[in-house]
Amino acid sequence: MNEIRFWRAVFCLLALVLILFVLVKAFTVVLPFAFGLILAYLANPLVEWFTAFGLRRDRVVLVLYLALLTLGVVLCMSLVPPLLHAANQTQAALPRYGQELDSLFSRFNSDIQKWLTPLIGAGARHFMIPAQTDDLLMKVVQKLFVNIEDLAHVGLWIIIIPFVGFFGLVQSRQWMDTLFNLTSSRYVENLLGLLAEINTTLGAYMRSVMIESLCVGFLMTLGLHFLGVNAAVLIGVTTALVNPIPFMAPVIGGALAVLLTYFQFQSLSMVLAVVVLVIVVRIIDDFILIPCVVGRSVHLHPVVMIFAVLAGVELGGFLGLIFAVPLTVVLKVVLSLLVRSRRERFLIHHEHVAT
Amino acid sequence: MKEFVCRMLKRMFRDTQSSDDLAFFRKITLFHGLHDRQLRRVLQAMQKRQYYEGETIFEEGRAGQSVFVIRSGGVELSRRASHDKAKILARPGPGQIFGEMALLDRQPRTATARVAEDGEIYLLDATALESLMRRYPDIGVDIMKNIAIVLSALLRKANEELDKGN
Repeated sequence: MNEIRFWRAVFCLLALVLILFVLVKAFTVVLPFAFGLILAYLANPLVEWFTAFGLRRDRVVLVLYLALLTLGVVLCMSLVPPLLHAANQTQAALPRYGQELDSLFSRFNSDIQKWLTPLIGAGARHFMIPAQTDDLLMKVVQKLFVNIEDLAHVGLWIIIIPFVGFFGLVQSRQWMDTLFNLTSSRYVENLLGLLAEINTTLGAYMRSVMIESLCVGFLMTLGLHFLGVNAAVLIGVTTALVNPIPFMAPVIGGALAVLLTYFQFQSLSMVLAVVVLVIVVRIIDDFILIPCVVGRSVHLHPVVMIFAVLAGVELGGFLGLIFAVPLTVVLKVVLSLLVRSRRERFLIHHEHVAT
Repeated sequence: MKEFVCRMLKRMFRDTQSSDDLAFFRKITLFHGLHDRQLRRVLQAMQKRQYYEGETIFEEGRAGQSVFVIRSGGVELSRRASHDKAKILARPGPGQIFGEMALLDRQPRTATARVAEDGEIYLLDATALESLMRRYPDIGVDIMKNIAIVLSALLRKANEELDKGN
């Protein structure tokens, strides 16, 4: 019996290593499929809401896809022109922004040198920030677009992700049935419990983060629009997109808002107003949205979150940054279930000994 | 014309397969009082599995967290008695439930369940049910009431057996 168990464990370990090896080797191929399944997972509650009315699952998914396609086209038609306009304006103004930053740096350098010369003499001329900001900005923009192109193979992904998502939504029940039929009857209950726990925690987390991101993006856009910032939509959308990554929304969204406002108005009072807006949005997010929307779904300590994000970046780069928190949530659920199961086994063992 | 379009739409979108499931689950004590939409939501939270004769569904003493609904086939519930001999407690069949106590206390199982006849069994996990009840409290009220009815019937039966023994 023990020998059978040993060989079964060895077989499982080898299978796991093989699966991980294939996943790592074919990472770029696996990625769009994974995104498709994530899309299906996120859209599943909506499909189930409709099927509860006695509608056929495949037809509901088809109609939803058509509706989403229409919505996407409408959104593209209404959002893309202002976004492109703002992006073009920003791109056209990049050299000017660079020159302005250069002059700012040179003024700063000469001030520093003037201040240091009486103290350390001729050596003060070595204290300077060597800034070629316009070149740097252009390089950053070019590199960003090249990297995105390399990473995504955008055209292929646009086809694969909805395709996999469609089958994921239509056939998820059959896939689950197959998984449970293949699982040993002794572990069916454990597997069901584990999946239910992960689904409850992760699903709630993902949905709440999406709602929170939409709220933060909307508040930023609204505030910046009232302040008269031209790129309000661009900044709002960027903030909403980076919001699921912990601590990134105030850094990237806030910095973008401050820089673009400074370049547009050249006024410190406007920059101050934008800083106040970013702080107000953060306060609303931290004290109202996160406790009310996200906090109920998952309780991760901020230190664990920072560690997860840093580990995610180290292991998986940009994608690691995105998936760090959801994967930590899953890990937390699995660990807490393991601990609970061990404790129960310990209690049962002690009860047996006592009786 | 309007009638024709309505009929066409109904034929296109109506899920006729789930009607059989609904008719079956409506008869089960645990789901009494739930209307169609609520019952479909409960079904969405459930998982089915094909079981074969001789398979162990759960073992006495192991922690449990699901209730089982027999769609087809049969199960044998037994309990360890003295001298390691098993005492058969019940042989539930299609339309009957077992393991319902785990929904409430998640304590170790008080009996072992083995498949006596091949068939299909639906599982409802306690966590999934809790999540469903949080989202739809009206479903929770009905199911909890039904669990209380099932458990009180079991208690009544146990009392009667005790009386007979005395």
